[in-house]
Amino acid sequence: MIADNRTLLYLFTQTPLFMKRILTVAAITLALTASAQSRLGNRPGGQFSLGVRTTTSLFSNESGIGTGFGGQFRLRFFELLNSEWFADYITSDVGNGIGNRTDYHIGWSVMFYPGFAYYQGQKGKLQPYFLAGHCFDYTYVEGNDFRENNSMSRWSSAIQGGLGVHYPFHDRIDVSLSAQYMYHLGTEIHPEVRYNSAGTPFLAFEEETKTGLEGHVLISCSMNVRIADLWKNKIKGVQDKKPVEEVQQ
Amino acid sequence: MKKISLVIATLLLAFSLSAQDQPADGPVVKSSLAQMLRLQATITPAWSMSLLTNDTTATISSGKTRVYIHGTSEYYWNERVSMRGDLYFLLVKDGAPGGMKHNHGFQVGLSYHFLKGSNIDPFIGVRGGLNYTQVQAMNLNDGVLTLLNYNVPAHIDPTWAPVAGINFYGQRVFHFFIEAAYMNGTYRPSVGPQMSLEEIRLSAGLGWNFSLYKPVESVRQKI
Repeated sequence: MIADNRTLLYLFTQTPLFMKRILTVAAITLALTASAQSRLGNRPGGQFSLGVRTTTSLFSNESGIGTGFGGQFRLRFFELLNSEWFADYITSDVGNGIGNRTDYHIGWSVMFYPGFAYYQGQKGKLQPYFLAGHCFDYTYVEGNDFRENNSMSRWSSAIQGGLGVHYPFHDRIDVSLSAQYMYHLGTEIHPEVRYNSAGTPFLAFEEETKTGLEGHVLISCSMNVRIADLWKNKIKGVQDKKPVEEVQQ
Repeated sequence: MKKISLVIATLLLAFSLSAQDQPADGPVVKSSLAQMLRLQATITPAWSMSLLTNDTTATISSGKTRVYIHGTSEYYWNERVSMRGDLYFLLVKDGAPGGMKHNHGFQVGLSYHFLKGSNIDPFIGVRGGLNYTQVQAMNLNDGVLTLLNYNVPAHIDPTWAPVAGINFYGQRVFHFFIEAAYMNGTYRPSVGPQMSLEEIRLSAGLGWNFSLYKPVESVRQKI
């Protein structure tokens, strides 16, 4: 117990400010989710949705605004807890037209619907949510001139968190808009703009061995269609909150 | 006078609405677009917008008109919201150096329909997708070296487009449509200059529609 307290004390005194904030928000969200969960039951559990998304990438270190396309599926665990499993393909400009950056993301996010603003999927009501998750990604940056060795790539992992909102148009479909910040944890890529003897700019890369934090904002707009209820009627008495005896009769 | 006009308009509207709901002889008639699938294909002209947006790569796209085969399938979840998929295939290649050689793509998206129970169906929507693009071989020059007739590689790039249009349902299984999409995206080859894919695509023609609601033979049967 003493060790646990020391660990907590260490976490709250030594971690950077943003981590403290993330931990606080996560703790509050979890508490709200858990309290509301007991009131509302877990009826929508098992809902499975398929969707497509367009993503805009902003504020990346050396690249411009990126646009992307991807897909996702959602598996809802409980009334207030959903999950999103996505893949994105994003391209953006580097160095004002002299290079390209391509990002491939594959990852997942957990979505929490806050109990104080939960509308049970009512049509036409905006449903806000928090999301946090993890992602694997591959980044490829290249100069578009015809020199050799003008590209660099890396595999990395990332964590992301943010806010979103669903707009259910129909019983089965919704449009969602989310904004999240994604931190990449891996080797840095730092292309440099250099000039040849004629004054034409080109991208140059140097091998980076150190790891660092690099992040960007992702704004995603998605359309999702609920196509199945994966554990409907399989856990009778739990899903619909009826006593097991009554269901058996 | 104003009041009389309003009363007449209301009566006419009420009559037309009640007439829509009355079943005709034979199979059940449904005067709604809900659960309808429509398919359409047409030849689509497109105008590059690069010059209008001060794009420096306009030397490649040159603001030229392009022509596509455009196929659409759209499903109406209800009278307000539909989901659609679109395919574009570049029909006429530009043979000039750096001219458009391939520009094919697909997009999926949602549309919102403004009117319920009407034969005129104006809508707006947004779509996202991917494009496969390549330009003709061209000379590349970085001020020191020049590569003659360089085969610029193809590339797949994300695109998106807002779309607006009107459908007219006047016949049993056919409808007329006219719509415009503003395509957004950038061609980013691994070697060679980037190129804006911004263009306005205008599609019009006859489409085929049928209802997936079982008891109905056609969506607009009694019209």
